[in-house]
Amino acid sequence: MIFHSLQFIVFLVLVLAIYWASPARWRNALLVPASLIFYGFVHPWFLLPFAATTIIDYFVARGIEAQPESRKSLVAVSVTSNLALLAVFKYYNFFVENVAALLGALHLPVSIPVLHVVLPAGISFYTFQSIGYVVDVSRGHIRACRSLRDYALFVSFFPQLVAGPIQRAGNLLAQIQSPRSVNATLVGEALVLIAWGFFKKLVIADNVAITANKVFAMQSPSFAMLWTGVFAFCIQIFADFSAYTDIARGTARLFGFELSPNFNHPYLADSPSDFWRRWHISLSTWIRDYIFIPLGGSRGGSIRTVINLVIVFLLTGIWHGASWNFAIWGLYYAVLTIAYRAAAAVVPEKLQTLPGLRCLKILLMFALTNVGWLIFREQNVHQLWRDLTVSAAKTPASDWRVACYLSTLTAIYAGPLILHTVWDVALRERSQRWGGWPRVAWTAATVVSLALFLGVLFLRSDTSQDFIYFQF
Amino acid sequence: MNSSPASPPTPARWAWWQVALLVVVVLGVPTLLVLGPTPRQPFDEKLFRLIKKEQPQCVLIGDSMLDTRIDRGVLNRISGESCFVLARPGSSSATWYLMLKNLIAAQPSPPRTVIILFRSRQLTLPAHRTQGEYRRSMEQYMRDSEPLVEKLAGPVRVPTGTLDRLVQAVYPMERRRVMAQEKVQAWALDFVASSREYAEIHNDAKALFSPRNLRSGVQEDEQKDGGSTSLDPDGHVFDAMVGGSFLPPLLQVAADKGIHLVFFQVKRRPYADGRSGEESPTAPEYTRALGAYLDQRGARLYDETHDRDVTLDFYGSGDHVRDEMIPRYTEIFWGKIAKLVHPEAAQ
Repeated sequence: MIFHSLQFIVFLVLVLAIYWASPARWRNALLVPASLIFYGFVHPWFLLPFAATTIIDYFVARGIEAQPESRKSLVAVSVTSNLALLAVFKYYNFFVENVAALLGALHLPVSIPVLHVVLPAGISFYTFQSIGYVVDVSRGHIRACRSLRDYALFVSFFPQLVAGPIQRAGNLLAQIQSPRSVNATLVGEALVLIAWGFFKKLVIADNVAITANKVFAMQSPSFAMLWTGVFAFCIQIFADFSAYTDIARGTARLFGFELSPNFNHPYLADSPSDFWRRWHISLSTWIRDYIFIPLGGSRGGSIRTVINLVIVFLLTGIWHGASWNFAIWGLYYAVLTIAYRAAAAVVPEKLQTLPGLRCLKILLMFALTNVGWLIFREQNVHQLWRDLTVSAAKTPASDWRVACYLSTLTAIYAGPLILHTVWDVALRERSQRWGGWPRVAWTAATVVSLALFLGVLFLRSDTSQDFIYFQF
Repeated sequence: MNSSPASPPTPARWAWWQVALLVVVVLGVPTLLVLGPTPRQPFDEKLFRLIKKEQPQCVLIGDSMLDTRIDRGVLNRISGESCFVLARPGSSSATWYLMLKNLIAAQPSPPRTVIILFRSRQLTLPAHRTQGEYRRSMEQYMRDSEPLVEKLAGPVRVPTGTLDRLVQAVYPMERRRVMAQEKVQAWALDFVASSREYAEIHNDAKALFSPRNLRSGVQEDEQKDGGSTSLDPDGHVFDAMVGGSFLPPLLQVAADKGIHLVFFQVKRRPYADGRSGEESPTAPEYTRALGAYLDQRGARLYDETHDRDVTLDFYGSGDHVRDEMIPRYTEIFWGKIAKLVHPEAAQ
């Protein structure tokens, strides 16, 4: 089931009504089947790998507590089983195609069967969430969950199941195991958040996607058209993914849960490390805590740090998909991060704190992020090379004009994102909770929600696309 | 006395009322906004005046089959006539009827001949391309009231399901949505160009994103999307369908104004050896019935379907002719149709 469908709206209203009408002790039990219906609505077989992850990790965590001396081997069981699921459904075809191509190039043609199955939605999200739980138990950070029902809800909670944010057990599982309540202020906030999410998806992301899709469907776009398409994709992917997160967080609040945030104005980043502190925060912190730091982080000297960064970013790239461009995208960020670290070590501190420099750094990082999005979006490596080497001088005048028009159109659609960023950054302290402004809060919330809803009705795109991160 | 004044709502209860109010306002205001008449595009007076100014002797009407086949300059040169090409990609018989009635027959001096290019059984599929986006593009050819179009082409919207129908009943703002989007596009255009350059930018964009510039996989997808097997339904019998189609009113409007109507059935994408592409078994029978019907009413039909001179080399994506072949195709076209446009010369 997808958020921007009438089925979901009906489903949500029904589940909410039953949920709050039920006694508190039944609520978790209600949310588990509701989440499974949500997840298995189109492809019921998606529930099989999902059930495997849930059951194995539940018992593994219990086993770790019962036999602490076996915790390493039990963690290995969990990691292996989850990675095996990912390997089969996500990476197997990529692997065999490349092996076959390699052997073919060596004049050893082989025919290896490929899998013709749909990638289960959200598999990369829930497997990572579940691995995180097992590792946390093995580290003694949390107790193993006694109730299979509660653990199943932790893994399956439908607002965040398909595209995150990836939750830590310390946050979501703790809330599942505690009594929950909701008040009108939280509900009001949730509704505004959901309306903003729908606006970002249906108005911003889907409209700019038209330009991005058209440009990336072209055989050989000129320099101007290519970067217009990349700019459109840059807006699209942020609006799309953050929309999912906002709807997920808003929906969770309606049930009395607070999910961790996933974005913090990523296009205001002034360095690659800063970007990853602001973009897909739940994934980057997961990788930091469960891979980078166990590898030694930055503590083992420069060479070791470089190696760790390459490993971490390569894994981050490959997490997104089984395709060479994602691996290149990850390595691109590894190179950027290493280069920025090296520059920071060389450039005198006085220069680094020059007034106005941060603005320039943000602009530079935005340009570099766009190069990253080109690598991310272009799955054909030959085409990617062609795109990265296309010359601006060869752009016909007519292309510049169309590119200007489409870029302006993209910028207009991106306007609300910019306004939101300015508002949020300028008023962050005061806007932590709009409930803090008792006199205007409800009026403001109503006006904002109405404007967003009218925006969805009047400006939504003709064609709505799936959320981009569904494919991961 | 037990009667005490009602206690004021507690802050928590008041907050819940505010949530309810928020929901009511957010859902209710748009409902009020759509109570007025649905806006629509005005009639294209500019186009009307342009035709009036040019006073062409011959007007060609059609969809992308015409748009990708006929070069007006070449046609004017080889025919020795002033021809006007009224091509609207994505149009169909309902639009052609509106064009003929409101743009051509309504002229103080209507042209002598109108040629309509069509594919397969388009002429007797009145609802084809009349809903959604297509409906919007028809509006610029509509006068205030078009009861015949409403009758033959059906209601403005066709709901797709119960829930959709419910939502559309509460919020019939599809039309406003499209107009709002056009406004946003106009802002972007205003920002980068003068109004004189709008058409150029649109044409440049159209050329840039034309199928020949797309990657091969995407081209195939587009061809599938444009696949018009529905234009040739096997059970669609001419005699049974013509009464409810736009063909009789087309002929009537032309007869009233003394316009000679010629229908040209284009050849759809052929096989590599030039043989005509796939068609339903009843297609020849349909074409014969159409020809006979038109003959009886003073109009003419040219059926190009089985002409071997139009080979696969002419074709770009789908049934469209490649840009570089358009001049050549125009010459071939005129060679075929000249005697129907000037029957007196042929005799």
